Amino acid sequence: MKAGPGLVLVTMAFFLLCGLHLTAGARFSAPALVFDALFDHDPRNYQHVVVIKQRLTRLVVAGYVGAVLAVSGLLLQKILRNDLVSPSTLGINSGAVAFVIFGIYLFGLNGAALFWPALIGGFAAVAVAFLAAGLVSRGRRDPLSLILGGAMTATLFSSATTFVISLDPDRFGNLMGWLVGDIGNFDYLPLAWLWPVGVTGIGFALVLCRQIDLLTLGTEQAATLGADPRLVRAGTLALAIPLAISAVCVVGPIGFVGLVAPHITRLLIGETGRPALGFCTLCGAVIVIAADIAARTLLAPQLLQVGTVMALCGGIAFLVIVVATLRRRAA
Amino acid sequence: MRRQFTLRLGSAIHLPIDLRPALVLAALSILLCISTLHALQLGSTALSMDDVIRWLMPWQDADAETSAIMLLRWPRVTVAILAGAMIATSGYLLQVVSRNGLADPGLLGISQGGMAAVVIGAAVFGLPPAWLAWASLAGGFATALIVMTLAWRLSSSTGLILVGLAVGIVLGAAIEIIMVRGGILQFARWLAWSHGSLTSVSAGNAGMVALWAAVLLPLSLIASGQMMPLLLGHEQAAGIGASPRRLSLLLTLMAAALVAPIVAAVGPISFLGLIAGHIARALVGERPVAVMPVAMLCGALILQIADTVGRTLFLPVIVPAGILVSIAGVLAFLIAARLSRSSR
Repeated sequence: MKAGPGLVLVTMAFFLLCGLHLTAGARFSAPALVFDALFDHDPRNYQHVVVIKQRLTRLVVAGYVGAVLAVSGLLLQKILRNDLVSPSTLGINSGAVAFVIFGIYLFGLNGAALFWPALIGGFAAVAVAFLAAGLVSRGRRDPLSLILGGAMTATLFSSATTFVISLDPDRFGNLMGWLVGDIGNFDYLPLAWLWPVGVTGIGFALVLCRQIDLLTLGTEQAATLGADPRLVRAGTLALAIPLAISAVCVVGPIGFVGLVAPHITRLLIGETGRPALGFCTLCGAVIVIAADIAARTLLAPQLLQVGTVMALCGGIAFLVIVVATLRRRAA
Repeated sequence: MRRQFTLRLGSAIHLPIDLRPALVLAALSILLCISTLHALQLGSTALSMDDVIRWLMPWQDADAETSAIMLLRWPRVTVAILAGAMIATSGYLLQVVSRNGLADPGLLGISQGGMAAVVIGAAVFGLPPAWLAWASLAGGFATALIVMTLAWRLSSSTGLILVGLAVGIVLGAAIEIIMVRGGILQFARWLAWSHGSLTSVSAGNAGMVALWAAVLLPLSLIASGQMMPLLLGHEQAAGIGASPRRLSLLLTLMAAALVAPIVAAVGPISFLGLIAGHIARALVGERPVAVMPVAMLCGALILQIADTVGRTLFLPVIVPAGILVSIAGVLAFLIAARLSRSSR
């Protein structure tokens, strides 16, 4: 598929799902009502308040999280030249969660201050994952061992998280939704000051797109073509990790968007160029919005967690990708 | 060079005994006895060693206070030993069947399969506790078959583990959907259980685990005599007259059965089978007959020590044994992955 039609297609899907997200829910709202609520808002009309305060805020959060995680995953997959990496499979999510929990438990941090321990946790997790992968692969570059290292990192950090929570479960009572990755009704509050991270990150990614694309050719080729591989790799990591962390800070660890969205992008329009980046951004948003619709309506009136829905679908996708990768190598 | 000595009973029966495994087994048994005594003695109220020994002697009656404390402590200690031995056995069986030194019931998703079956059985169908171990067996065996089929013929040792981890993630999400419905207290308890915790073990659990262990541990020791051909690979094994396919299936079923009661009572304890298998092979070489009992004792010893350390070292905080084992296990896994031959 060419980039143009692909972009049009994903944009249409995006707006369609946005509309569906606003109308669907525990109680169906007619499109006319949603339209009224958006453009002729009446604060005394309860249904208008529901559409704006509960659905629109959720929609914005879901879209932001999906977009940011997808871009983070695409950047990581490009610079590491490994199509199994993503913020969750590298252990970035678990590292951030562990450090946030430490921050709350040891220093009583809250609100905006939690971004910093999460960021440290993300970088620490990547470092540990690379160290572990180096141990496993004995210097040979094997894409699977990086994922294995990431999985081990995630286990390590989630054990630590569990330990700290079991010390004082009551204190983390209101964090349960965040721990499994859920979009709550008040998640738009942290987003209000975190959105610049996402916007600058995606902006920089668009600007640096050409250099990052060069790196997908391999280190030597990139160096010949005038990019400094080390600098680009470090710079991209410094972009991708804060992007993922800003999503984790808002909704908790939502996995596999960063894995699946780049794969869809690659299948449909290829992975290089700015249109691919834009496609991937929208694709991530579409995935999380769809997951949120599913979470709200599958067992309605009961709510499911977006993180759980994503883990269920994304885990299956991960399984398929792993098996496909292995088959390709065995053949 | 293997040093042997032959036990001669009369003129007809000569039993050749390898010196090295025998010595290792003896040393591990002594260590296990010592650690068990300490596990019974230590706790939030430490007892004196005399009291413990007097309580253990059936012909002397212990004082009431000791008996009361022991009533709480012995099921936990028993389950720690049996669970350790059973998980280690299961891990070693899987390592032989998949010919992959990194296999472990927790890493291949078998424990998660069992957990999912337990949670769904208990929460959705309201199964009585006695049936949970059977549900766990069914779930674990089904998962084992799925993982092994998916990773079939993918000559990569990390591939099997990644497939197992992916299946584990899907099952974990399914469990999460059900477990999130309670409050944070239940969620915290679930988190502890999902890493394996011996805190809530009762005498009933101990009895159930002991019953399964009494059947399965001797069976696996008998099976270890038949496992040697599998180490050669399927073609060679078939070539020398073994039937590898049937044997593999049987051993996988046994591996799932070994973890089933543990998952129902304690939760999955990942990495234990991996660590125990590796230590055992480092100690006595590759022969399954020798490795199996040594792995059992290693597993029992590790879980026993992890549990005792977890509940005594950081008092008043009690660290679930599973967390200690996972943290130690991640490090052991990385070392094991580095040491294991990459060609497998």
